[in-house]
Amino acid sequence: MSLPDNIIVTSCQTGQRVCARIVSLYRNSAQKKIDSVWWGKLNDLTGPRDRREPDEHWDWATIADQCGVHGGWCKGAETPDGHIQGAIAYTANSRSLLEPGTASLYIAYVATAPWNRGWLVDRPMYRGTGGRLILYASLHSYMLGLKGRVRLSALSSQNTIDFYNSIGFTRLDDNEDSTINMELSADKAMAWFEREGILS
Amino acid sequence: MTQRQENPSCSKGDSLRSAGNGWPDDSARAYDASGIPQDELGKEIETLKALHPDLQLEFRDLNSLDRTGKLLLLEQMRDMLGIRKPARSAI
Repeated sequence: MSLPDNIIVTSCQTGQRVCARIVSLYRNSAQKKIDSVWWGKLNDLTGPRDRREPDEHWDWATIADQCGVHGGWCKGAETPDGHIQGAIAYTANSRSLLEPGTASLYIAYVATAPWNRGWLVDRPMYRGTGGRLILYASLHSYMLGLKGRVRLSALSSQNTIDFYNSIGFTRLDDNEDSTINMELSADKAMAWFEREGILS
Repeated sequence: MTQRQENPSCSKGDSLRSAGNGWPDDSARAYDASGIPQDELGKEIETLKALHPDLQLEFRDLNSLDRTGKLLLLEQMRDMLGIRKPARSAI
């Protein structure tokens, strides 16, 4: 068996667990399923908003395209209604900062659909998408022989840092653009897999 | 499940999942940028090979392998690296 085909997210309306299919995203599909949908649908739900989200300018069509250039993967989690509930883009040719001399997977972009963000809408649709996508990336890291190591540069809000800390990421240094380098070590990744009972 | 996900409620601020500093400086390995979707199995094998150059592999031309051949090769490479299999198809 290769990587799992689905991640499990939870419907906030019903509390039921829903399988979201992992789909590969390329320029056209990213444009059609994310760029053309996410923010327009949010605006339909909320009307005018006071401030823009930090990722609102992200162009997933270009991100998916760049995945080809950087030898990476761009994946989305698609629920049965055909909507992409979250997306992630990563490469496998980065360096670990926690364990010098080893390679790490690097998450360049990850985001949930805006209608799943509790601070944007009164009733989010699904929860758990972002965490499951990061778990998927960590598992891909493991399947590539990188022992689950994952690095990323997190936006600097406390909510974000707390979220990554809760998964097991270690906070490293700050970048000049005020993002923060964080890394999931091999040990923490394996502990996560054990908790989840993922590996045979 | 993480602690966060065991909580049945969907509180505000519960789903902040953004990271985004773009691509790292050390990820400049060139790949086909034609926009044509790459063969995912072939890509997986090439990536494994690049990450583990010490793997002793007997195949020469990846393009000569069909999907089954690529799957077997991938499995063989993972076995050589001691990589266990995922226990289920959904996580």
